[in-house]
Amino acid sequence: MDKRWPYTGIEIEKFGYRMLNRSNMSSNNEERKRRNDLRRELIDKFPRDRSYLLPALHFLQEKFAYLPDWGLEVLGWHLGVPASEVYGTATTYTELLLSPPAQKTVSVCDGVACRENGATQILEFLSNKTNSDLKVQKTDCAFMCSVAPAVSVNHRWFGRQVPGDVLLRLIEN
Amino acid sequence: MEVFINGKEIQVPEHSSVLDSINISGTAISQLCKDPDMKPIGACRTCLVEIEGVRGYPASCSTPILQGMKISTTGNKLDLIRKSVLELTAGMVDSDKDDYRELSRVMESNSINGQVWKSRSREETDASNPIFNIAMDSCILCGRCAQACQTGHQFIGAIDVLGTSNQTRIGTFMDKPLLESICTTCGQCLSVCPTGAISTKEEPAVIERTVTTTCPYCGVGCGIKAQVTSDDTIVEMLDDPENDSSLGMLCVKGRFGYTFVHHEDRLTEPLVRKNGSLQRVTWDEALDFIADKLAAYEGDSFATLCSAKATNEDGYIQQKFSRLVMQSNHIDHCTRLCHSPSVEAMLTSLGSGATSNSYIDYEEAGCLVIIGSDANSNHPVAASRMRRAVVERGAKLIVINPRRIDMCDYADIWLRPRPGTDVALLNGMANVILENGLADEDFIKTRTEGFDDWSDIVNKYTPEYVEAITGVAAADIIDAANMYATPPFSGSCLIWGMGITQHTMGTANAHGLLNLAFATGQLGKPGSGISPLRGQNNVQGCGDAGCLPNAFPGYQTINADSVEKFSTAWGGNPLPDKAGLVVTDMVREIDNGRIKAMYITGENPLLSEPDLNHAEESFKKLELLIVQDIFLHETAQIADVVLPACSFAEKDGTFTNSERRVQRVRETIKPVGSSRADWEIICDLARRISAKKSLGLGDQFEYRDASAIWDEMSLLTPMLAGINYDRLEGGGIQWPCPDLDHPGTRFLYEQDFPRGARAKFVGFDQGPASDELPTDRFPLILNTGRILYHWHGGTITKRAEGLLARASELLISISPEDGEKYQVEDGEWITVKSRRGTIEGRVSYSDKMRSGEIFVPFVKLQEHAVNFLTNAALDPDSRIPEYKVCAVRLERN
Amino acid sequence: MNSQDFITSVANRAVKNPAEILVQVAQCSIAVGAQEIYRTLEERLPASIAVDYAGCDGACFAGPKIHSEKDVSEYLEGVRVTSTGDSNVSNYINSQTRIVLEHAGNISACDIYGYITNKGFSALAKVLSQPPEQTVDMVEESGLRGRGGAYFPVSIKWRSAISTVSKERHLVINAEEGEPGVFKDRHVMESVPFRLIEGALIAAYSTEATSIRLYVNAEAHLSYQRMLNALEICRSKGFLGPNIMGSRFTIDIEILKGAGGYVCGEESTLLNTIEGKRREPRLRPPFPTESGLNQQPTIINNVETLCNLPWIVLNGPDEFKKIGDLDTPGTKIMSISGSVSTPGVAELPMGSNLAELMVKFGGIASINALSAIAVGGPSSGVIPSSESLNLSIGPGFIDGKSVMLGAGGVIGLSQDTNVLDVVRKLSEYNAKESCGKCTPCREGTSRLLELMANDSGDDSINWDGIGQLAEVINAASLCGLGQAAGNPVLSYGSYFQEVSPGSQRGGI
Repeated sequence: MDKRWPYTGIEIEKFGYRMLNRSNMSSNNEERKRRNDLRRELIDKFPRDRSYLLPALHFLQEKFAYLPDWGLEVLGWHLGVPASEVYGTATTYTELLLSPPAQKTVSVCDGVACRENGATQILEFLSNKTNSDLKVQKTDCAFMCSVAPAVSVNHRWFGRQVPGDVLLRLIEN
Repeated sequence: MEVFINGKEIQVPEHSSVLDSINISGTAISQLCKDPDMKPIGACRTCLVEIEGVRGYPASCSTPILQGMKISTTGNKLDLIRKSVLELTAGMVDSDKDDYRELSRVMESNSINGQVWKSRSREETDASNPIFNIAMDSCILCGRCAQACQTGHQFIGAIDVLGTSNQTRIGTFMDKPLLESICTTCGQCLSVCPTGAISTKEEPAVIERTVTTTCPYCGVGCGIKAQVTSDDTIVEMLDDPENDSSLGMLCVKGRFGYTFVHHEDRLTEPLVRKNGSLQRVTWDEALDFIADKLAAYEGDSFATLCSAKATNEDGYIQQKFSRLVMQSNHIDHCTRLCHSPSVEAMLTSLGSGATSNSYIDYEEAGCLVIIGSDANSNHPVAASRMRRAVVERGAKLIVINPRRIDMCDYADIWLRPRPGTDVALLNGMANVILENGLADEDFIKTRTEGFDDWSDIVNKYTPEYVEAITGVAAADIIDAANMYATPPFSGSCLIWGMGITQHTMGTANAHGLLNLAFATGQLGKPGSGISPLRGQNNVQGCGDAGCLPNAFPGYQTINADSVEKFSTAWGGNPLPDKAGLVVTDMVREIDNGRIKAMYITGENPLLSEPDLNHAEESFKKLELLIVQDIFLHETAQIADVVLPACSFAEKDGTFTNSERRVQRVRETIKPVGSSRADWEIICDLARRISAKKSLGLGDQFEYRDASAIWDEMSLLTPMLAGINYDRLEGGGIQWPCPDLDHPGTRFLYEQDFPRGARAKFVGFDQGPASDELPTDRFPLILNTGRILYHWHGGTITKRAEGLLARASELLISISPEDGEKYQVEDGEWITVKSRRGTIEGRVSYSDKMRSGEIFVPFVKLQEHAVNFLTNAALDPDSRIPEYKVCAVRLERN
Repeated sequence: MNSQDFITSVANRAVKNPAEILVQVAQCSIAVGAQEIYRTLEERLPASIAVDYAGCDGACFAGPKIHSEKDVSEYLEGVRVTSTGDSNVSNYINSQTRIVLEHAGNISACDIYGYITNKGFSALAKVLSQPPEQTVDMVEESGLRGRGGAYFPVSIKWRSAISTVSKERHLVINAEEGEPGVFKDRHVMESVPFRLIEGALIAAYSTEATSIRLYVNAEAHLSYQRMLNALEICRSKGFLGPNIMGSRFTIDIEILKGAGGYVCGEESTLLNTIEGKRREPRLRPPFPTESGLNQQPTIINNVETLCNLPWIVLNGPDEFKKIGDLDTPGTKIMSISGSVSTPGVAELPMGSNLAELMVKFGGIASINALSAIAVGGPSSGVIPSSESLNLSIGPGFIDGKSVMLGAGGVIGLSQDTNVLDVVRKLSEYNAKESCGKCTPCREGTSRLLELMANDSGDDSINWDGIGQLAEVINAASLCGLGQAAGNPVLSYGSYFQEVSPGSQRGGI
């Protein structure tokens, strides 16, 4: 009971904005509905307590593939945490994305072990493959050291890779 | 405990940190991220020390002392490490700028000149706020600003430390400009910044002296330290960590709103109306003119309005003048327009009209109920202390308000009653408390009376019945009642404002709240109590000083004994023995031609009265209108005589804040122009009248200084008897303080009540929600109130550039639904009409509003003031006008 | 019914016999097709033969692998897979001393019977039958130290928390394995998840903890899944939740997923993360055991640490002390990778010789095949392979200077690897992962990179200045990671550059 967002039984549809500033007031109905729906989803899923911030951020990222600003705002209202602190906290975690990810992301592990096994050559090999819907990036140790060098396509990892067609086909599908 | 700093033994209090001890010992050491009033952060790593028997170089700010600890602040390696860290720190800021305040001093004392590292390129300066900038290229990421904005002080959370590694920065939600954040421009961040990265847009001036005094805005009574230059100008206002009411906090008005003192509009000379226009005259001419005229209006035809912005001393003299010289009890002040219902109700049920507890009780409470009060806007520092209770101590918070005020962000329950249905709501909560056996039987039995009559009334207010009236779900009423009656720890506090009082049912509302406190025994103990938050810096004191038609100082009701007492004290002269008129009735009696002369100090009825068009007609009927103020406001403009008074910054005296704390006001600068303190003017006038009519009262108005006036007042006022200026040097004292050894009183009613052993239940039924209801022609309910950036009618804040810049237009908040329904765009400039008048303002779509209701603050901006619309319908008991509800319609221009 | 009988009764109620064929599917082997092999077997095997998941036994180099009593090659036509019977694998496994990884890979990771038919939970049963204090004594007696990298005596941590009066007391299992080059906790959770649960319950009971949280690294998806599944099974079978194993002991384990960041492995940062705060360390004192989660006493133990408890309880402290060296009894799980031919995880007695383990478990011809070894990740450093001959694994600086064992990651660097590049890489990692709170770490680590940026050969780099700065970072930083952020360059300085760190300005 004490963990829910303050509301009135009859006026459940209405809830206020944190922002004092007009520019943050939404005059758009879809926008307000979208926020309201998410709010109620959060009320169902997470008690109103800051210790649920990280689980809730994971939930948002699974839902939207990244953390949309309006989602962070709504989450702040629900947990009773100022939006700036929700954002500030989110910016410290490497796994949390604050902007939409590319269509397809290929990550080449650039850890020491992978380098020892040819990660650098793989990076060279893929360097010119980046385009609008394919992003090639290097990441720090992915803990796949025992099957180095490792390459991931949209978070699925493949070990013992070598530059060549096999790798390209992997990326294709 | 004893510790050794560089071999020197010193005594330090237990639980000190090593850094505390070093500072106590007077040893210099850099401490860039440690604010004296906040917990250690441990980020700057420059207060490192060596401690015998401890490995490495611990940061002294976060190391607690142990008995006999041997600490050294210097040593080859230690100095080298500190120097290197400071070099890294210097590498963060732009080398071109020369003054980095504390940082510069630290660099100097560690003989670091020039930069070892080329300075990092940093984020751009955020200059969006009209008052101050955040310049990241001068920031060393100590984190003090974020701490001050969050749990260190204000519990606002507009800024935070963002990002990691060399991307770390100070910023707002989504790195938006500060102005688009929830920042309230309180400036707490700026006050703790060690490098000046956050600082006002003005160039820093050379400070000659600091004067500690009390904030002139709301009733919270924050301590302020005015920074004055050699040419007698206040250039900066600092917070006062020593002040027990504000604990080193300030809001935007307190910190940046002082500039009105030096505004060109200040009245500098007396004005007298000659053939139609106000003309400059000498003091002698003005006062003799008044003396001549006033002589004719002794007694019933004279009325005076005192100022809740003036000091206790001013108020005391003014009521003494009216009673003694003018033989009139027609004395009142603005409390009539804000908390008279609370005062009425409390006088009836308790026998005293004051807040029963202190801000510290909010912090210690287990449950806070904030009803009809937008504390964030009107009492920002008190609101911070309420948020502290919720965030830091896990107190429950219930907000009851038709508008979704920002405090809802921290609430556990938000009840949203239809305007004017509070009596039913409060009766409903009482009903639940009685039904569910949550009442404090013992308290009711031993310390109250009138329970049965009252319970008969509340019996029928079942949650379902109340839901039908108020629109609040029965379940929520039950939850709220349970939460209030059974706080998780400590007690429960009731906190209310104009939303309760400014109704035709105002007094009934206030009684409803008192009844809840009685039924649950939630007063007279720490962490509990009843708090009508006072809106003006000295509205409490003005009443205490006797600026009331029915009572002498200290709420000593006018009766044979009290008249006898004061008559004797004031030289054995006769005094009127019948209660006088309250301000709202004065206006009526002007119409009826009964009141012919009026003396108004520091009040602007032609902005604060309801239905202004009518009010202006009335005041014009006066034969003599004397206005004494600091600006030539609406009322002054139609006066016959205008007298220039000093502002709070130019006189000595005392203010009494919302928690009954009497605090010193000190002369900070010399009076502007030929302005004089209100009490001086009135005394001068009294002496002249006395002489003219040879009343022999001259010596009754001879005072050495303000403290002499206080001494006379406290002598005649038991609850203030123990307070004098010498004691106040040590900080404010909360009345009652009956004798010189009494420490003052944190909360009232521990054993009994001023009216006797028992408090009185007074029950009311829900009457009509309001005098005026929406119709087809006027379909919307107008709700009025205040906004953070303006104080009251805005006469003062309009003349503080920073505040005006932050809010320069009248915003008409409406729900987006209504916006669409009545086809007005967000941001459109429109007209609002009521049966009484018309104003213009800018539409602001706001989800704070409920469909069918609009909100307009009563500050007057660009010649538009909402009180041209409001209704003069009165609460029968307290005679307060119904500012909170009237029917209006929107029109496109 | 006493807890031992409870186990038997559960075992008897086994719905099916343990699967005959186990496919080792772990984070490592998934990346080389283990999942496909499981699917193939599911399709091809007759209903009579059950197949199940196991974790990787540590011989990652040989993955994908299956463990099976009977010959199933007929079903694996044209599939490249190794059997655990293969001599390379069995030698690799058998030449280790397995306490934590006992049965890893040859019992199911998804079904509890494999574990309880191998003495699983009997240690807990014993603990539940004796007063908590007795177990704490036992752990003290065993001399068990934390395996997260600090090697702090477990019993001291426990007693400190126990002696702090509080209604609530928390146990946090640190599975935020974030040290580059280390993947052993993943192997433990993926192969013997029930051992971690048993160990955690033993710790919770002995320290009278009121809550247990398991904090898993954000990228260890499979570990998270396996633990989630294992916890659910334990709840349904009465090994977790109310009245555990028929006793009066009631507690549950809440599983949390991290969100990335090396510094999350640091105790107090982990607590901030759980409380929904910024990912940055807290000031000490107070220490977590006095005021940790929600200002209440909190014990934070590493996965590997807790998994030692069942063995110690069953075999007694004296047996445990016979393994490893006197100061640090027991084993350590080493993560071996880099320029070696048989990368994987190997559990070895503390005090084992570094060069020997590189040769034996790295599968290299001789230690000279390597130019250097990166030991202990970015908080430690690099040492010439020749040096490793007279170094043995253990707590603290194994070389007495700047190289620490850390969580036990060793990466072999080939003869043609530019060691300075590796040091740059490690320093870059420290700079990038700095939480940004304290000045020496945030500013210092990126300044270190500036100083090393120069590519025109080592000579043009001012090693005095670098050593100086590195030592300032170590001396002045707020948390354990900052205080180690200078180690990579210091190790390089002392072994590959003839300079005494900071000599220019007298040193620190």
